[in-house]
Amino acid sequence: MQAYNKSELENYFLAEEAKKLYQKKFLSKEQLQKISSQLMQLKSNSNIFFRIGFFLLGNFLFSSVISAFAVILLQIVSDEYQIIFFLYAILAYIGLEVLVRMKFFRHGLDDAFLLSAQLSFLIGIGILTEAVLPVLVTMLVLGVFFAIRFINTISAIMAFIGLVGIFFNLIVEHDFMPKFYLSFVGLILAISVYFFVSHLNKNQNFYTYFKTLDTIRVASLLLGYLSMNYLVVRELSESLMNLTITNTSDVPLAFVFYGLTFLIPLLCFYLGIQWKDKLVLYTGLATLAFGFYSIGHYYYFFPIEYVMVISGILLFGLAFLIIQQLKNKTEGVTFQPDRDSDDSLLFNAQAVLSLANANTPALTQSNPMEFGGGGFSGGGAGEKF
Amino acid sequence: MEKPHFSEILIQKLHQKEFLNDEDLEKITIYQKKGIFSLRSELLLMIYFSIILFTSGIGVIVYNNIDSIGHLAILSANFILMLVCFYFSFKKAKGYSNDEVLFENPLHDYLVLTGSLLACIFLGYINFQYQIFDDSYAYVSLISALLCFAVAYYFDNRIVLSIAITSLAAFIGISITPKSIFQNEVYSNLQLTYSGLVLGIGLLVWMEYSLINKIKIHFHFVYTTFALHLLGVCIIAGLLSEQWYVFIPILLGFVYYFYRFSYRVLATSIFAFMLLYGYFGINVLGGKILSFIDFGPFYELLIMVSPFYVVASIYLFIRLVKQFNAKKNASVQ
Repeated sequence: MQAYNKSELENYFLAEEAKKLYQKKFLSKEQLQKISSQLMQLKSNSNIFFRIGFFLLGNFLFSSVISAFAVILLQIVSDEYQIIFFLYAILAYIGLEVLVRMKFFRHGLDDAFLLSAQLSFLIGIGILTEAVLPVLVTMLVLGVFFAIRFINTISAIMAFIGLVGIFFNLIVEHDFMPKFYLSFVGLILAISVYFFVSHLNKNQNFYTYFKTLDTIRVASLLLGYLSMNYLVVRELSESLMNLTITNTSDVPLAFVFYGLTFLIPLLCFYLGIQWKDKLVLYTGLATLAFGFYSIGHYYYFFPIEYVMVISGILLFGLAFLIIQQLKNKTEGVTFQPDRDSDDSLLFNAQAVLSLANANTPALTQSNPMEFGGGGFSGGGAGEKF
Repeated sequence: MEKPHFSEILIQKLHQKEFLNDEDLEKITIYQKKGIFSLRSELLLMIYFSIILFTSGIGVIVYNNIDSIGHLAILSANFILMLVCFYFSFKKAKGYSNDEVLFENPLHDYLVLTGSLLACIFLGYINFQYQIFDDSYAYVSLISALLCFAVAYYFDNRIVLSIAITSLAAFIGISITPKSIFQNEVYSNLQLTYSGLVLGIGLLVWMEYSLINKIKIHFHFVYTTFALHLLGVCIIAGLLSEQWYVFIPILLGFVYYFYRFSYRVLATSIFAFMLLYGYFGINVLGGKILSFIDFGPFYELLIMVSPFYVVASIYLFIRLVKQFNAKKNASVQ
């Protein structure tokens, strides 16, 4: 089923691990060079910039190829335009297989063709059937197939979206069960996917898929959170069940959703630290931020600038307390740098961040037009974290 | 939940293949037993965001209350807080040196950052209230920039350095935010494009000078990243403008300089963005030239040929990246 040679894949992962060991200063430069010269067999880009660049180039190539084809094909098959997307999908798939034969793996070019093949096929199905459900089913099936065959994370995410979409579509459009259960179905789905994936993660033979499975794990956590988030539940019930919410009424079981909006992120925090799993920890952070946003969306406490100042102080205090707690620990959870961490890199990243949202006070002042009216509120809008 | 750790499996395999000797393996196992889970970067980033949130909130509050009675109180609070920040920063600082000087506690870097941001707010406010430079905010930006440069060099703080550079850009009149690029602010005004070029080249000259004289060598990344994007955007804007032919030699010089520079410091991000701007620029140029030739009947031919052009450029890029990676791998320190 896998498109790649097993030993070549193993070599790829071993070489990557050796690089990590080198960064952690366990291996000398000579050892690393020896390992990578003996193992490197797949063409891949571990650098994200290069991978994105080649992904764009790959898309560029594919679109230029299909426009060249379209020039010829449209004259022949102008009546049966439905099949043209299937032709594109086949073309992209052939391109993908050729790239795989040429040993491209996680390179960017192969990602472009992989995604194009899937998307073209989905568009083709959509045009052919003019219904949503078949598209979602195809999304799931194709996604699983591509994820397994090409060890690709994006396909796995598409399969996951397809799976969620099927349930959503069945309940909303086809009245499979009362719409009220939608959020609970989402939660159950998320939990079952999470434990299924964790179960797969225990099998050593699947080690090539661990990165993909990790991403699906985070996706299912996010799904679980979103299906219980107050904002999402309220907006969905307003639009799907035609509920009107006033000051006195609220969504059914509102207290559950209020509670879980904050309890799930805290649980993620706890588990992330317990399992020493940064992905779960980051999910906790992201969902917590979204939780505050959801409540702030419906309830007005202070003007935004006071919220910013207060949350800044609270965030600082929290981080400071944690740092004080962890400062002198040398094992387990700690504030000490890890063997591969690099403060210089972190400062560079923050400097670039400051460049990117250069909406610092110094710049807001440079625009005199904004001071006149009383309705000025855009000064800090660039820094919504 | 215990799962077999991905890297443990791979390390075992590396050991089986005798890439790792027993001694290495033992060292690694001892390290892994400690179960180190470092939250350093995450916590420092949290501090960074908290400071950005706090100071931008303060900035908005100061301006919203400019005509009210409470503004003096807020402003004095701002000023006192700034003084406190700088007082402790000076107390803990080890003094200026051309080399990298780090605080013992990384939190002090953020104290410096807070102080500088509050100082910028303060400067802007005084100018607004007392009209020192009439209504011109350019000079306030310049003074903020000078102050931030001084702070950045004295306390060796890259984040303040990047604020200094953006303030300097604001003095010239360009606000280099992703927003302004999307809103075509740089594109619409040729004057700004030229000033952007001057600023970018000026920064590069200063960086080269500092590299030769070994003044804060580690600042080079901030300077080049800023100059690279500023010059890249300005050159593309220039190529799209009326005077596009002026920018052809500048584009070539840009590509040549950053190509050499990325090899010198082996910075992958600089190399990648150099390729991006260079390729984009060349394509814009190609489009310009094609637009002068009346293609009429040849359009289909052009479309048929375009895949070959893309394949050729992909081939070229793969070669370039391979060369760069080989060089980088050969000289990992």
